[in-house]
Amino acid sequence: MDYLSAARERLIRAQARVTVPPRVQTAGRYGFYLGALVFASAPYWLGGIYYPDIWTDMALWGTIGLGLNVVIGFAGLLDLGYMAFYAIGGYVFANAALYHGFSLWEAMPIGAVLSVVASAIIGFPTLRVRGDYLAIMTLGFGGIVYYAAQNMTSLTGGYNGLFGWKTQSILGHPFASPIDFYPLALGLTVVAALVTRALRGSRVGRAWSCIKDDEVAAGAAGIPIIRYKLYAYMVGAVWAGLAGAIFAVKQNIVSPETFTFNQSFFAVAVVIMGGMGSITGVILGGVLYVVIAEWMVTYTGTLSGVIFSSLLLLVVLLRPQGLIPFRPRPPRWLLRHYLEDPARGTAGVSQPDG
Amino acid sequence: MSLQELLQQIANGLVVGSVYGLIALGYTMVYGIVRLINFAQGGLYEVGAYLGVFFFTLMGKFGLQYPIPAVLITLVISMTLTGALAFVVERVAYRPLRNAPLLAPLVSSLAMFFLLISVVQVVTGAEPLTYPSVLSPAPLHLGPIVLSPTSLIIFFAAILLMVGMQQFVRRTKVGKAMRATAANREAAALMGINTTRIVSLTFVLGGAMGAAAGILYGVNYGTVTYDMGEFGGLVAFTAAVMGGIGNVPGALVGGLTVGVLSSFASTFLPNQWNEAIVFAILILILAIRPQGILGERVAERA
Repeated sequence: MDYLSAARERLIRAQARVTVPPRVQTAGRYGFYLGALVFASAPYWLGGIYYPDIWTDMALWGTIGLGLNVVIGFAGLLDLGYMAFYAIGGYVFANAALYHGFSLWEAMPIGAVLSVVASAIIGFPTLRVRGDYLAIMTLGFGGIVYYAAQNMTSLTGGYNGLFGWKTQSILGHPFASPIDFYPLALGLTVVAALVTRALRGSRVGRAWSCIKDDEVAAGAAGIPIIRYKLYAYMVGAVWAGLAGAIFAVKQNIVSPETFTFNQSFFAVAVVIMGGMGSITGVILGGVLYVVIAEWMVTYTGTLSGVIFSSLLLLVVLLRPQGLIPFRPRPPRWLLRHYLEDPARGTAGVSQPDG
Repeated sequence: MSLQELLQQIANGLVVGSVYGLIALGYTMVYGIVRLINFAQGGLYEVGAYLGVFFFTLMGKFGLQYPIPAVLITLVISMTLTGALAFVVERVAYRPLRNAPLLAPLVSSLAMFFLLISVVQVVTGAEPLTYPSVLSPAPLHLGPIVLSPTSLIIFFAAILLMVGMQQFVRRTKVGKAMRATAANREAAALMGINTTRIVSLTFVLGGAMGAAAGILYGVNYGTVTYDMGEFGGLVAFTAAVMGGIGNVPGALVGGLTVGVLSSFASTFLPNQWNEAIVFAILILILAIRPQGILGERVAERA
């Protein structure tokens, strides 16, 4: 559904139904914010070591979801090797901390930059091919990074991974227990949410959305398709690179087992289940993933793959827009413009073709 | 590398490659008809291999010792069952999304693949299973090359299946209907071809070929693991693309080429780099010559 016809449909629907009083709308919005705040602060009042650890995982998976959301949700590119960038972030931090005495603060941007460089190198040849070929190529790239992590022992520690760096700290406050990482991970999620949200509404974001809807038409409208696809791929890689470093510090180890194809598949599942393009939806997807995975490990053992893939299948078949779908909304000035004179809504825009 | 080593590597590569070619056949046929990468193919290959272990063991219990009939019966039963599974896969994961955007069937077939390998993992407890050695292990000396009789039989069985499939597509009436559906689905439907049934049939045949490949792989290497579908599926997809996706003889050419290439790679580099090499070949081919060796340029679909 294109931008303007979606806007018009919303307007027609809004006029037809009994509208929710603005006061109730505002109350609902603040209720949501309050709920989110209570949920996000849960580790502080639940306490212990277990809950902060789980909540940190949720924040990290939320960030992974947000990053991959740029690639899948905004630009419509299926990336099956996304965790490769997570791995790069982790290994760059480990190397920088172990052998060059860098702190987490210095290593995180380096990891992000190297992730972006890697994404540009791999994206440049791959992004000109069709969508399904792209999926396969990114799968291959994820595989190469995984096997490189296993075999390039001097750089990655091989199967055993890298570990043993000194405790990281910020402003004299050491990162020792899970509750110390949580604000860091949560902060990254919030920044990722705000930045990707701003990008979605920007010129670049609108170009992505055009490419996603109809690549040929977008090209005809003058959008340099390959360059904008490459932007999406690179912007996506940033967040995985940053989250990967925090993950490494939290786990106290970086090893190949956390960057398998399964992980990349779960990342895709987070975005699709949460709702492609939707910020809230994707964060919810990350939270759900961690809850389900954690619950599975505790109670069902190996069944997690079965249940997770069945869930993804169900979502794709029954609710392809995801749990919290993204509804494109035109800018406020445009809405006001249409609302003042509804006739303009039908006169100015040609009929959409279904 | 001496000439003898070179020939030996080529022979090994051809045997492995013939198995890849069989899996690739499933990808290429489905792609030719519905323009969809059926990720589930790798899972079907794995399921076929595990069904093979099950029936081999079952027949051993009933005292069926003759190797050739045992292999044949196992092949037929497992191919039939996997074909039926492929039918279900098409019904559940592909047909409802026929008119959805490209991303939806891709994700659903990916989920299907993951579901299949996860089920295998749960049922078998993630333990590698051993194939009973059904054929005599005495090696054959063919000039300078040493091959086990098993690998020879596998090679010829795979070639036979692929040539048979190609003849089926080229010469029979159903094959003609498949080609017509691949060329233009609407026009084929207007000519009275039941295209829905043809799509189903293509999935079933592809699944059956995958199962055959799984069993031949198991017989050749002696063990099957729950993650074989992941790598096997990817390598076979590389083979399908290399031969030109949608092109039935191309699957054979691509399979053999990838087999020989990876066999060479494993002689020049440490063994653990084998997988990474195959992935690198895959990316190179897709980037440089996405139409494959024999293929024509695949029409772009936005």
